[in-house]
Amino acid sequence: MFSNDILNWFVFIAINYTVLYSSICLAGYLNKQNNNSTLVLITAILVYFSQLTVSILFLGVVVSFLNAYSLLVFNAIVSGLLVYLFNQYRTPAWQTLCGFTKDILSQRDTTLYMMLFFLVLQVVILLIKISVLPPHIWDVFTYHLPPAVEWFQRGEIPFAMDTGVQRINSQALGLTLLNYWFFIFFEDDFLMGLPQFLWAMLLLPLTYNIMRQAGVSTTWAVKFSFLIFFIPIILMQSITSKDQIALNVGFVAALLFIFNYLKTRDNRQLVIAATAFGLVLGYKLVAPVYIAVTLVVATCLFYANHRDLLLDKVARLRLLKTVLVSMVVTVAIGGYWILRNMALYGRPLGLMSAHTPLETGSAGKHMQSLDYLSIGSLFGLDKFLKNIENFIPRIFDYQAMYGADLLNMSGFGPQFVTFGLIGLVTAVATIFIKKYRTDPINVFTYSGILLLLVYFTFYGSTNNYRLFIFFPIIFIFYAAILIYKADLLGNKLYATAINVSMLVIIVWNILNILPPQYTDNRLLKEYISLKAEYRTSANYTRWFGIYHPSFYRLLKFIPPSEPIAYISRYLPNFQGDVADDTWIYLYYDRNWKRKVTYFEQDKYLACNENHACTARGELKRDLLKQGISLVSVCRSNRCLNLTDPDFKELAPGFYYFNGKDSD
Amino acid sequence: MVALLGAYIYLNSDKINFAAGQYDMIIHAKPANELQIFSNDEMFAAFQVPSSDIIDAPGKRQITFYPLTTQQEVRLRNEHRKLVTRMNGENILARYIERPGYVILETPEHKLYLISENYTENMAAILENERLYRWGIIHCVDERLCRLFNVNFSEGWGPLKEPSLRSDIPRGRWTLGPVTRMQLVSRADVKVLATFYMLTPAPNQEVTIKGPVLARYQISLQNISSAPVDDIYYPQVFAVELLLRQGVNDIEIAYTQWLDSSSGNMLPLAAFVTGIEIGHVK
Repeated sequence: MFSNDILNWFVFIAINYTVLYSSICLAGYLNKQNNNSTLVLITAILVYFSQLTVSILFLGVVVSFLNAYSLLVFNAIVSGLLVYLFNQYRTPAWQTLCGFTKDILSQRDTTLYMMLFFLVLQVVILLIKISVLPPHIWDVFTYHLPPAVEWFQRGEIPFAMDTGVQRINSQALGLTLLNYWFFIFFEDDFLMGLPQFLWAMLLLPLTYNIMRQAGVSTTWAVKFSFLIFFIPIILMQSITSKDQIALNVGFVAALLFIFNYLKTRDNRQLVIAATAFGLVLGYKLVAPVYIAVTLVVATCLFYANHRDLLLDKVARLRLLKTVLVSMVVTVAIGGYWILRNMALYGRPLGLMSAHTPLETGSAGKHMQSLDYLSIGSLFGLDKFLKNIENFIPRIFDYQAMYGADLLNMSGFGPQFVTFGLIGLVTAVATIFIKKYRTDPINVFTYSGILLLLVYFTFYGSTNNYRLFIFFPIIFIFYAAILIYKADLLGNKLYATAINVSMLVIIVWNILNILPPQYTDNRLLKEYISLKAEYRTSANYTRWFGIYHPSFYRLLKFIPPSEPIAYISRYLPNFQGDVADDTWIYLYYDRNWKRKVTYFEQDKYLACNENHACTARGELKRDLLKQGISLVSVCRSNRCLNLTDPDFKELAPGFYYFNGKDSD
Repeated sequence: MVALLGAYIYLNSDKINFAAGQYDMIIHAKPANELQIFSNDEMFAAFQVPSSDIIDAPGKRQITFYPLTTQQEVRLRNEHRKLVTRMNGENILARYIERPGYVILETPEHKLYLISENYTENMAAILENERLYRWGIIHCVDERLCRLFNVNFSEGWGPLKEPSLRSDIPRGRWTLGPVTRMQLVSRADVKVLATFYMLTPAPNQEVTIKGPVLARYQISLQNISSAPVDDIYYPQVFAVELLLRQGVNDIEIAYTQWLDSSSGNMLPLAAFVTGIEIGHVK
C-alpha cells in the first residue's frame, strides 16, 4: 500500500483491530442472553471473517473498485456503524483473555504447563513457517491464489477469468478473499497462510467452550483443546492457502451455536450458526452437504427436545422469522459463488458438476478423484464400501508420510486413535440407547457421523480425508467429555496415563511435522537466506523434481515487469496423468506485479501425438500485439516441445519469442 | 487408549527415520553463496548466488543472471584486471569476460551473467547459446581426430541428462541393459583410444565392450553416492583401443546387471555414461 513497511503494518493492524473491535460489539449483542466470554470471542471471530468477506465481495463484484484504500474506507465505515449500534454490548475481551490466562497459570498442573509451552512453541513455529515459506502445494498454484492475483491486478472481481484451469471459474473462493485481504496492505504474499492459521487458532476457544459447556473442568478442557490443535492435519494445513481447515472448523463452530440453541432456545444463536455456515458455504461447493446434514440432525434433536415450541404460535413465528433471517445471512456471506455458477453455467456447481466432452480420458478420470463432486459416480455403493474398508488403515496413518495433501492417510494423528475412537464407538452406541439419544451434545457426533457417511457415498480418492477434518475434532472432544463424565480423571493412574499420552502425542506431532514439506530441504537454508525477491513459490517448490522443468527456478532471474504467456488447455495431451492443471501461481513474483496471460492451446499451437508442437501464425501475432516475449508450454511438471525458429528455448518448456510476425 | 497409541507409534515408526532424514538435510544444508567484488578494498558490487538448475555448455557451472548498473558495468570493464572476488568472505579465483551488453564472471562452480542492457533479450540469447553449444558425452582430445568420424547412439541410450542439485551426479546419458549399441562412422582407417566413464547402480556390474577392439584396460575408482539420496553409484572407467575402419564401426556395450522394474524403474537402467573420451593411441 505504502512504500514504507512500518506504515503498512500500522494500517494493517489498525484496520484489523477496528474490524475485530466492532465484531466484538456485534458479538456481544448476539450473545447478550449468554454470559459467556468464550462464546463472544468465537462469535466475534466469525463476524470478523464475515465482514472481511462481504466487504471484498461488495467492492470487487458490485462496485468494481477493489483496492487497499476502498477496503480501508469501507470497513472503517461499517465498523464505525457497528460500534455505534452495539458498543453497549461489548464485553471487555482483553481483560477476559488476561483473566483466563491467569486462571490457567494458577492451575498448578505440570502437564498443562508443558502443553502450554509446546503450544506457544508450535504457534511461533507456524507463524515463522507462514511468513518465511511461500505459498505451496498443487491446488494453491492452480486455483486458490491465481484469482486473487487477477483481482489485485484488475481492481475488481470478474465473474470469470480467462484461464487454462477450468475449475477456477467454478470454485467457491471464499478463502481466497481472505488471502487477498492479507496481501493487499503489504502487496506481498508473505501472509498467505494466515487465514487458515487463524481458523486453526479458533479451534482452541471453540473446542474449549464445547467441553466446558458439557461440564469438563477448565484444566482438562484446555488440555484437550490443545491436543485437538495438534492434530497433524491441522498443523500441516494451517500454514497453507488451502481451505479445508476453514471449512471444517467453520462447520464445528456452526454446530456449537446450534448446540447452544438446543440448550437455551436463544434464537440469536441460530443467526450466529448461520454466519458460520455462510463462511463455510463460501469455502467449498460441497458446503451445502454440511448444511443439509446439520439441518437433518438438528431438526431431529429439536423435535425431540423442543417440539412444544411448535405448538406456541408466537414462538413458532419467531422461530420462522429467525430461520429466514439466518438463510439470508448465510447466502449473503457465502452464496455468491453458487449464484455466480448459476448465472454463468446454469448449475450450482458450475463446470465441476459434469464432464464436458473435453474432460474424457485419463485427465478427466484424474479430475474426478480430486476434491469435488463427480456426477458420473455420484452416490455409489462401491465407493461407500471401499471407503468403509479403508477407514482403519487410513486413521492409523501408516500408509504414507505426513503431508498436507494426505495421500492414503487421514492425518488425524495419534490423538484420534488414542481418544477419538473411544468417542466414535460411544457415539454410535448412544444411537441405540434412548436415554442418551436426545442429548443436544449429539448434534456434534451425529452430524459428524452422518456427514462422514454421506461423504463416503460420493467421495473416494487417495486424498479425501483432508476434507474430513471435522471428524477427529468432534470425536476427540467428545471423548474428553465422556472420560470426564466417567470420572476417570479423578483416578490418579488414569489421569497420569492420559497426561503422559497427551505429551507423547504432542511431541510426536511437533517433531514429525516440523520439517517443511513440498520442498527440497537440502536447499532450505539457502532459500531462507535469500533476498525476498528470490523467495518465491517457484523457487521453493520441488514438486517438479522428477521431470525437471528447470524454468520454474529460472523465473527468479526474470524481472516482474516481464509478462509471461502460458499455453495450455484441458485436454490430456501432456504426457502422463499428473499434468491436469496449470500451476499458474508459480509464474508470479511475490508482489503480484507480473502479468500472466493465458493462450488457449488449440488456437495457438499445432501438436502431434508425440507432444511436439509448432506455433500457429496467430500466436506470433497475438504475442506481438500484447508485447509478450516469454512463453511457457508447461502445465504442471510436464511440458510440450515447441519447435519454431522464432522461439528460442531457454529451458525445457520455456521459450523466448524473438518478436517476428510470420504473417 | 495407551495400547492404541502404542500401536499407532509402532505402525508409524518409519516416520521417525523419515523426519530424521529431513532434519539431517536441513542441518547439513548451506546458506546462499554471497559473492562480492572489490576494487582497491572497496566493495562495489555484491550478488547472492543461489543454486540454479541451469548448467553451462560444458556441464560444469551453474548459471545465474543479474542486472548490472551502468556504474558497476563501467568499473567492471575498466578495472577487471585488478578486481578481487570473494565468495562467502574468502578470496576466490574468478575470470571476467567482457561481451557487448554483459560481463561474464566465472568462478570454479558458478557462471554469473551480469547484464547491463536489454536484460531479457540478452538472457535469452545467452541461454540459447549455452544450450546450443552444450557438450554431449563425446570428447575428443584434438579437433583433427574429431573431424574423422561421427557417432551414432543407435540403441539403448537415454537423452542427455543435466547435473541435478539433488545429487552429485554429473551430466551424462543412461544406457540400458543388457546391451547398448553405438556406431563410429569413420572417414579413414584410424587407431583410437576410447575411454568410457560410467556410473553403474550395481556394485558387481561387469561391462564388456565389443567391436574392433585391439586392447582393453580397466581403471578402478572409489564409489560415490548421490548423497543424501540412498542411491549409490559405482564408477567404472574402461579404455579400449579401437581400430576404426573407414565406414560404419559397430560398438556394443554389454552389461551383466541392470535395474528391473521391481526396483521402481520403468527402464532396465544399466549404467550412466558421463563421458566417452576419444584420443590417439600412444
